[in-house]
Amino acid sequence: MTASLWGTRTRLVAGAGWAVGGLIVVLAWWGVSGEATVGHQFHWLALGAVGVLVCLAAGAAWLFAGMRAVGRRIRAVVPVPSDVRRPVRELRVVSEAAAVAADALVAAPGMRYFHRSSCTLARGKAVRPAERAEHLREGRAACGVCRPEGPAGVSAA
Amino acid sequence: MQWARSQWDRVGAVVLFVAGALAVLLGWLGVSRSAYSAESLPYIVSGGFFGLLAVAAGGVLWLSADLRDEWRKLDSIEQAWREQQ
Repeated sequence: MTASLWGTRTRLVAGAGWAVGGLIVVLAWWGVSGEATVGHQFHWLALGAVGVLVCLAAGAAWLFAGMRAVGRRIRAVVPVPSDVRRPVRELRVVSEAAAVAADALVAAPGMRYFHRSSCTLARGKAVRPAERAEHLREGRAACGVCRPEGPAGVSAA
Repeated sequence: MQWARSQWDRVGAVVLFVAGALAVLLGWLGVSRSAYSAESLPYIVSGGFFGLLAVAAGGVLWLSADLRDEWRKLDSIEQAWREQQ
């Protein structure tokens, strides 16, 4: 349940402003219609202008309250970058293939063992996935920690 | 019909714009047909002031609709944000 855009106080103030302003204009119209000379009518005309201004002020107050509420909500909901700088300690390039196949067999050039991509020993290394036969062809053995030779999900890692 | 219900504020704004323009037009007609200044001033108040108020109310209603749209969008953003956490 989210809060309302306009609070009760704003609704009351705007409603009262429009009602009072409208009544003043009606009163001015009634006064102008009842006077025979222009000199006397101008007083009522000025009163009518005041009524219009009251209504416009109430409308402006209503809109400003709404805009303020939306602004506050944006600041609360939309995350802003923090002023506190947090240095990045390590940037790691992860190949797309390794990221997609979580249980692929991976190794980096120069490594003696091939691992499951989820293996602790493969983390942080520039590994790339390959078929088991390819790893064996390059002289690599299966890792003893993640045991890529065994069934999926069984490892010592 | 369903659009008009969901966009009642914009429909109201258009109605007020039209009513305001009509009031100004009728006021102008009244003033132009008056022989004396004292006879024309009531038309200025009724046509001019009420027309101006109707147009202003329509503008407020239309801008309020825009603010409500933003509020609803923020509702959905906040909901999506909560679901992700």
